[in-house]
Amino acid sequence: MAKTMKLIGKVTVGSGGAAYAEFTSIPGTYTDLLVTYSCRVDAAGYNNQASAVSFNGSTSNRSSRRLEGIGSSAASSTFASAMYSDITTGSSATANSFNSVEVYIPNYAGSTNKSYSSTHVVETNDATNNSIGCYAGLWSDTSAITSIRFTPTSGNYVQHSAFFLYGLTRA
Amino acid sequence: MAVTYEPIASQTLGTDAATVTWSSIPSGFTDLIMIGAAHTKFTSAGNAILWIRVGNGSVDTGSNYSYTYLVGTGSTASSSRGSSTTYIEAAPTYTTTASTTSTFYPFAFHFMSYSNTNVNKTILASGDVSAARLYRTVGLWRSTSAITNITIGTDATSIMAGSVLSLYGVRAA
Repeated sequence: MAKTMKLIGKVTVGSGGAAYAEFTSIPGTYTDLLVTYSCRVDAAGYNNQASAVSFNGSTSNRSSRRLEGIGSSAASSTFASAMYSDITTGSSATANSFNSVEVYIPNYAGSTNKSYSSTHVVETNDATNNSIGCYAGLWSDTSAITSIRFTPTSGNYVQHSAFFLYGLTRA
Repeated sequence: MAVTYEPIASQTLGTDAATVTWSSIPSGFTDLIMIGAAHTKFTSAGNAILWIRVGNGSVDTGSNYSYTYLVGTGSTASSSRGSSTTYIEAAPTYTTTASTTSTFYPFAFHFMSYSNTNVNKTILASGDVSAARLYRTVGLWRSTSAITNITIGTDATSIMAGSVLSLYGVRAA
């Protein structure tokens, strides 16, 4: 029986925090990648933080769209030169509350442009600062993805943030 | 280590196809998950959808489906639904008039309790087109029959060559 979803990397943030979480030397032997993670940042504020995504260290040719509901309204926006994967909690949010995120990257080693799909949830029992949403991202580059970096838009990831990278193999 | 995510079949389209069908899906799993990336072809560039039909022994083309989705365009968010439809509008895609493309858009369809003959079948779907729209959809097939057949189609002319659709079986512990 084939094993189709294999853990190939993990990043757990220690007591000093981390400016980013990165997977490097990703082998090209799988068909798709799946990243699941849970994070929180030390920047001031509630849920107004996000994680930026970069592949292979590139900050060019990135774009993304967001769809988000916050419990009282829904919104959508476009980012012409950035890729994001989540909304997460800041230092003012309920203590010990982290987001939960899943990022799916099909055909990451192929010769087409690289698209991804992410879904996130943040629930803090706060009256106004929660989030459920998703991002569509595109790196208009045909290079195989060999590294993935998640970087807070403000502050650092706090201790107990954890990132897991899985390789998927289809039939 | 238990294997909980088992490949059933994968199709990488060698030529454009109006629909893609899976038949004789085994019943030994708890749920099914189809994931992939697609682009579609039409007489002009623009928005399109991927739709789902399911069935037992053959695909049900009757008005036995309904769905509700949340959609974001990059500037606005809204929700819509369809009832007694002939398919589930599951995910957005985008069309081109070109014969090839370098961009395929990811989607995931989760068929819950697909072989449980006591319940109608719920399908959770997501699809994200970075150039246009994001969808999160819940669909229903009003039948207690086990799902043995799945067809994915489009309201465009065809799903383009190079699109990939992979079906996995998921086992509960």
